[in-house]
Amino acid sequence: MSNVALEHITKRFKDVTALDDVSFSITHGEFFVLLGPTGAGKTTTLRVIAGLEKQDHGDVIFDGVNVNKYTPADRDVAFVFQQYSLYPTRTVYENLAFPLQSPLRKWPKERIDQRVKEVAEKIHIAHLLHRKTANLSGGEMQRVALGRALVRSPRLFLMDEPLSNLDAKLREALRIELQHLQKTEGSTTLFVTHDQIEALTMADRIAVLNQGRIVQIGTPYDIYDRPATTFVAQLVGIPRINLLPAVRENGLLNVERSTIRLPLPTDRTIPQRFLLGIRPEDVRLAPDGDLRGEVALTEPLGVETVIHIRSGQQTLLSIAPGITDLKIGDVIAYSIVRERLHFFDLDGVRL
Amino acid sequence: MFGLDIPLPDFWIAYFFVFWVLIGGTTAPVMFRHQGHPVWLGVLTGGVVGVISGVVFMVLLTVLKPLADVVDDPFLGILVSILISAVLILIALGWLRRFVPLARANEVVTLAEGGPRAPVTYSTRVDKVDPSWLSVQGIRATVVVMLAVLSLIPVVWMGMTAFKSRADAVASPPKVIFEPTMEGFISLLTKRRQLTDAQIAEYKQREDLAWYDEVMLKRGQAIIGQSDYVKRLRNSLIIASVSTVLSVTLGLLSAYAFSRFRIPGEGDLLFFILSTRMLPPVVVTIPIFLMYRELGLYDTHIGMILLYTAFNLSFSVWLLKGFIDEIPREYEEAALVDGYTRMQAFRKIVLPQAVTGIAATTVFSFIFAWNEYAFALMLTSDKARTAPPSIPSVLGTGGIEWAAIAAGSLGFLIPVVIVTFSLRRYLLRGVTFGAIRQG
Ligand SMILES: Nc1ncnc2c1ncn2[C@@H]1O[C@H](COP(=O)(O)OP(=O)(O)OP(=O)(O)O)[C@@H](O)[C@H]1O
Ligand SMILES: [Mg+2]
Repeated sequence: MSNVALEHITKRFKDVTALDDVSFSITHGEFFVLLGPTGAGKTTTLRVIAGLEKQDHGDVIFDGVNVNKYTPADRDVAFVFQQYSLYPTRTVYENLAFPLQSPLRKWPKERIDQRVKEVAEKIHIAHLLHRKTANLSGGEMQRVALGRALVRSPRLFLMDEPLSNLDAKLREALRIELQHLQKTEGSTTLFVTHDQIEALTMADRIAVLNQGRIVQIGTPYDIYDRPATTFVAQLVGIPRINLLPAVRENGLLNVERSTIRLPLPTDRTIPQRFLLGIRPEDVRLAPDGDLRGEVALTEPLGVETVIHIRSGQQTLLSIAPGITDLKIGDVIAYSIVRERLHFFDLDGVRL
Repeated sequence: MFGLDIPLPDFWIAYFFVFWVLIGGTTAPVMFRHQGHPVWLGVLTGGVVGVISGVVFMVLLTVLKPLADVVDDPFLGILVSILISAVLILIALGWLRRFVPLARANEVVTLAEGGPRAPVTYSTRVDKVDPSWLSVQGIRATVVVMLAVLSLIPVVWMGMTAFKSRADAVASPPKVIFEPTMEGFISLLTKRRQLTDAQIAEYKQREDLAWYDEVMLKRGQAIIGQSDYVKRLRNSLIIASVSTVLSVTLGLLSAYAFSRFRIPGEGDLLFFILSTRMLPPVVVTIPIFLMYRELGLYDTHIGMILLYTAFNLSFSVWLLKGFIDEIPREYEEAALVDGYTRMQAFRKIVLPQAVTGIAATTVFSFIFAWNEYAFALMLTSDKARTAPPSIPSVLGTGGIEWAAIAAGSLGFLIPVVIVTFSLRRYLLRGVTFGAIRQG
């Protein structure tokens, strides 16, 4: 069942086109992530859905009902803002209770009190309830902002980079908590981020947005393993995908300005010139590998080491588990997993 | 006075003496406390030091007298010599610090755990702050107080004149010490009749005279009724407060709209609103007078309220727009999404945040409406006449009643002081800046 759908949404600000014919739909209980670099139009999408911004063209559909004319209050969505805007001069408790006190809901006091305390427990801010919001730390504010959305049971949660202001540890903890909450309560969530790890780990489905256009929609698996464009391929995955210009030559795949030669795939037609994408984990160091290269740089990360392999004038990133004793200048043998190569035409579209 | 050859009037000599005593009294205790002595010792020494400083100051002024000839301007000469003397004494005071001995261990009274001896320029703990910084604070406070005293003198003089008798009010040289009387207030608030000698004698026999009758009888006058001043003051109060409430309310709503909604021609509209304020009142009074006569608004409360509201509106829209612009939209947007209407969000979220701006606008609007003279003079005659144009009419016949005028001005001053004082808490800006972080 489709809970929320955008159909051909276009939004312009003077001469900037923030959204350009954006369409997607989110099913009930889904954790949908909107991934894109800064300025892609992620916040604008959320604001259009919430009714805070009026689209120029297109429709916002909730359960088959066109809600273009609904006020934000009538749309029944909860919004965690990017710049988390807690009501100042109010306590954390009052901030959490505020959405429930809306005349729209007419909740009795005891029920509000109970709900606020319940949510505060869940996201570990019970000890902050009587503090003023102005002097909370950034991480505490972010939790309260999350809590203010979670007290309600809206049709849809809109979360605009709610974890962006936290340190790595807290971010990870909250990420897991959020995922857990979402799954146990079965709430539909549209989560915005520019962090690919967040997107890959949390999402049921991901929509990649670039310059106001949807580039690809799919499961994390789709996005990572079948990127629709070089943009998507480069956006997800750390270290970045190796993207090398290549030509077809004598029935072989020939990476320009290097010694890499690979057999051509047989299941699709490949143009004369194209871009070859190789994930670093698919470049495997192996004594019996058929390719040779020189170590240009190593970056030990602990769990793994990123090895820059020079082949001709090209440099290839590779990952080796653990810490290696390779030195710059060492000649090594490696192989490339052939089944997992990515082919893009010169415009960056997947072949 | 004081047998010194100082080129200063007595008032200034006294003024500077007080100034130096205050400086000594505020700076010395800091040094003493820092060295571990009880504060009272510092105050005492400071007082003495202040007196000495005052004397030294006067001596220096005398010594520097030839300076006036050098710069060829007596006023400039005295100004420069005051500056030089002040700087010299301040330096000397700074030096004095070295001579305050450290209290012996068993005498240390207040110094908790020994504050840092190296300079710390800011701390919430008084005993941790460097004494030189604290002394500078003391000096600054003293300068501010002395300047405030200086600018309060006219007001104080007015207050004094209000309680003077007719003769004292015009006495020359002016009397600082006088016998207070309510004459000024009574003649302000009453209508009187001049009595002949026979009538005075007759009046004196009467038993039913109230105290104010007696006061006026001494001047040979009998009270025959209330004057218009009370009525005028009431008019002023009604017109000023209603027009202030109106212009702030309307201004708040339109400032909010200007700030939050996309309004076609916003800049032009704002400029147009401001332009209503560009003509001086005197220029537009005649057309308004003609209009008001036709519309039957001449000399009515409604007319004056409308006029002042319109006049203040431009100002309040501009001022409030600035304040509302500073409140991030996210607050209201969060409220909108949380299930509130625009109006509820405005009331619950924007209003509490805009109190500072509202207070400032209220004060300014009220002061304008309260002080306005030109319109009131032209557009009212009796029924709606406000206080400002009526004070000169107290000038009356048969000599100027300075005491009455001073009393009138004093009464006129009080409401503004009350309004400003009761809102002063909100006038301090930036107290409640919100919980928003730029992400
Ligand atoms: N109110 C506005 N007026 C004018 N331009 C705007 C407005 N809001 C957004 N834009 C523009 O629209 C584009 C998309 O903005 P948006 O805020 O949606 O980006 P975003 O994907 O959320 O980026 P970020 O990750 O930095 O938050 C940007 O180019 C931005 O400058
Ligand atoms: Mg954004």
